[in-house]
Amino acid sequence: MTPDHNRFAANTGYFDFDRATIKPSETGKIDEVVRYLQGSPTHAVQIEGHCDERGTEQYNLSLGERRALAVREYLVRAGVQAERAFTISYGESRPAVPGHNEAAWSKNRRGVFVLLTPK
Amino acid sequence: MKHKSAFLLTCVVFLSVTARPPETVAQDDHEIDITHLGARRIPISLEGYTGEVLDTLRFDLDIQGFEVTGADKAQYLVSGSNNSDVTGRLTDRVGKTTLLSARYTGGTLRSEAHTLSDAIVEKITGRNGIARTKIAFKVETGQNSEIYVADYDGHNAKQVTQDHTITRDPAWVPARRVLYYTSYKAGNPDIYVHDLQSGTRRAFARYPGLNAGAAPSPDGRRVALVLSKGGSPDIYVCDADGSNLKPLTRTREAESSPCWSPDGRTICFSSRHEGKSALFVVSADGGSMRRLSTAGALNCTEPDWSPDGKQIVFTRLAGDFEICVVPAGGGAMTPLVAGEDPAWAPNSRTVIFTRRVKGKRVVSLLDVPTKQIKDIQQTSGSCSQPCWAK
Repeated sequence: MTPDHNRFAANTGYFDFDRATIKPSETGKIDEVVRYLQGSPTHAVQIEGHCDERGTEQYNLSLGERRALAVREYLVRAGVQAERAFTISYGESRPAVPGHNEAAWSKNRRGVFVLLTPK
Repeated sequence: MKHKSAFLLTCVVFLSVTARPPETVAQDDHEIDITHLGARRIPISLEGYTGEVLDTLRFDLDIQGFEVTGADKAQYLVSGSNNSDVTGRLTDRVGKTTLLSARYTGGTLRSEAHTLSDAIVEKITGRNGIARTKIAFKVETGQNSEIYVADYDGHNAKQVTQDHTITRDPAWVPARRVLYYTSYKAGNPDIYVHDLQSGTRRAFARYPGLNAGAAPSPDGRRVALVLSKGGSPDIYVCDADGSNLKPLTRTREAESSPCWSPDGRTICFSSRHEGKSALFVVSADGGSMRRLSTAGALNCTEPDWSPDGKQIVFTRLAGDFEICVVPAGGGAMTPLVAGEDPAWAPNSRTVIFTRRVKGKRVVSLLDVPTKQIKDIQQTSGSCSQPCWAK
């Protein structure tokens, strides 16, 4: 599968501090991914779970995975086959925005979709 | 684990006279509960040393409950030289007795100084010194991180991995030069086991999703780890060959940081099972998980069980991160210092941990009873996730 990091760049979902539940404000962006996958049955997605720096390192790795899994559960409930959605946690090691304030943190607590297309 | 160097370090003890037991204060210090904070540092003087040997002796003693001071204020006097070999004579200033007289040959001056400081610590306190122990830690540069090993004070650091990706969560197998860690080299966080002696490694856990937090049991025969293949990050245990994998938790919430009791029967970890991060314990053979009381501390993660079985050190988030200890059976926690990700030394007294300084992480040592802190020699980059070879 070939990864495409740009296709869903506008569909990144954000989380509250220390939470792995999907907020109502984020579901529209995820629904777009669901519709895309339903229209492209050979494509799949990798869901990256990320955290801000305000958790400890091992905790954040598990929290990031929990966030990615929450997004995957949402996709599966919407009808996407489970085997078409992979999860990977990066904890706090790949922040989207540098900085040590809420403006940066709120952008770093996120679930990112990477489109996977057949080679 | 003792320092195993390529060279042969020989110690010639000329004279070891203990006319009477060590000073009462030293004995008291040895016996106090380590959470009894504000313990008095033992004043000791160093005469005749220079340069690296002086710095090494001072560092080793300062972080193990001593205070290097002038001879007029010292309870113990150390005199010697570092011309070609390191020599040392330890005297009880009040009793005027010689407790130790030794010459160390065959190593580097630094290793000989560590050997002398270990002998001093053992002679005065009855505890094993930690100056010849090893640590492992993660070094982050840019987006990637690699695993390093070093002497306990950060010197002689050597890079173990060259994966050019995220490599993290190092953990020593007790009494062996073997590390477990997580690497994203194959595109997923997988656990590897790496033999430092032979330089070979193999994939240990490569399940779908998260494979992280590997913690070998005290006898090295089993491994606790975090896997998310069941739909949520849970604690699992398996044999050292990867077989007999068994989940110990089945929560919907995230678990992390398993560690073992020294008898190998219980695993302590962090979970959000009851809404906030807290410490839990579970039998290594399975059964229900039980909350470990940490009265006074919320948001607890990263537990590490002391080798003597008495204490669990952990990180709490209370605005900033703070290192705390709690009795292993649970109870009132004692906050120690600002920092995170603590790990015990083999002496069940010193803790290695991470501090955040100006957006970077540095690894530091903490002498728990006296709260003395010293940064180890830093490897260039952001250093974190320290663990101690035992």
